[in-house]
Amino acid sequence: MPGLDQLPSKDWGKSAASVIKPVLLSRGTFETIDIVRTRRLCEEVLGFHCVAPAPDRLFMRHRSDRPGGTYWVLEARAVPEVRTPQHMTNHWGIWVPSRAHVDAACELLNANKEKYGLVRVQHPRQTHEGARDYSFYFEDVSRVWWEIGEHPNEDEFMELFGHGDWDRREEATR
Amino acid sequence: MSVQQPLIDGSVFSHGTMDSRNPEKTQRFLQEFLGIRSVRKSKGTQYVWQGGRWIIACLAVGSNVPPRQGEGFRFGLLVATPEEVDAAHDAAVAQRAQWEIQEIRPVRVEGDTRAFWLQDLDGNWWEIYHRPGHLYDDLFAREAALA
Repeated sequence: MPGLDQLPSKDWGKSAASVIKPVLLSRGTFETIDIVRTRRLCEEVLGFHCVAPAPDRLFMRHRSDRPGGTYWVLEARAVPEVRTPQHMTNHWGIWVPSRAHVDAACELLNANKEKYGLVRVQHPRQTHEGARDYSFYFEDVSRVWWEIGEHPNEDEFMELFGHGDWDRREEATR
Repeated sequence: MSVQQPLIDGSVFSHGTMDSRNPEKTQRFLQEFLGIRSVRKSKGTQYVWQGGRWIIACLAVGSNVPPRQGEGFRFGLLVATPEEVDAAHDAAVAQRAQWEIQEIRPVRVEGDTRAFWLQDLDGNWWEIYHRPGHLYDDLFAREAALA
């Protein structure tokens, strides 16, 4: 299957030598003040498999990950108070295949704000540089921001990455 | 572990985000110190990845924007051995000024995970860690067996 699956096999964007040589960018973490509602949101709505090795910890991997391959784990840790609430531009991103999926997700979340502990659900709109994407953001009870965006074709990212660093002049003429 | 279909159909978990205040300097740190991949567009947005099909979108923000990513919001880099965690920590301490690393936490062991955290020049937090086995397969397999 073409697309982002090929990304690890390419040599793009890499330094010839580095101090640390990580195997994988493999996880992200965030804090939650309501681990029960975080699990409900992530499991029932966003499509993560969740495990709780301790009452105050939740590990998640997305059900779209390929069996046997690598995957990105999100870890949520229960805290009494989130010390640094996220800003909208610091979010976790979920892609869906079409604009209709984006609209349906927004409607669903708006209809279930209390159940899933959502503080704000924004309207879908054209987003990002050049208004090239269609997405919306929402904020949960722990001040964690999520984005749901339309991305039917991962190949567009392969082209972007394969191009390497963009020359300023070149982009200005596009 | 839930076997029910999620309410949002056909979704893929795709990315996280972080800030950069000097994209060229940030890119050097990502590539040459942390050892992860980055391509940079002219307006400063970078796309960052290492070894998987997930990315971090690194957004250029003004120099007056304070760090917006708390210590509880980190990105984790898996290294191959526990010794590499210690070596990375030593390197971070030794090269702290060169890379403008703001904070370096001590190496700690929690269960079978050996890790330390650092706060980079842009205020983003990174966790360098090692955990034996293939990622978190054991946790998910145990939960599946109990379901």
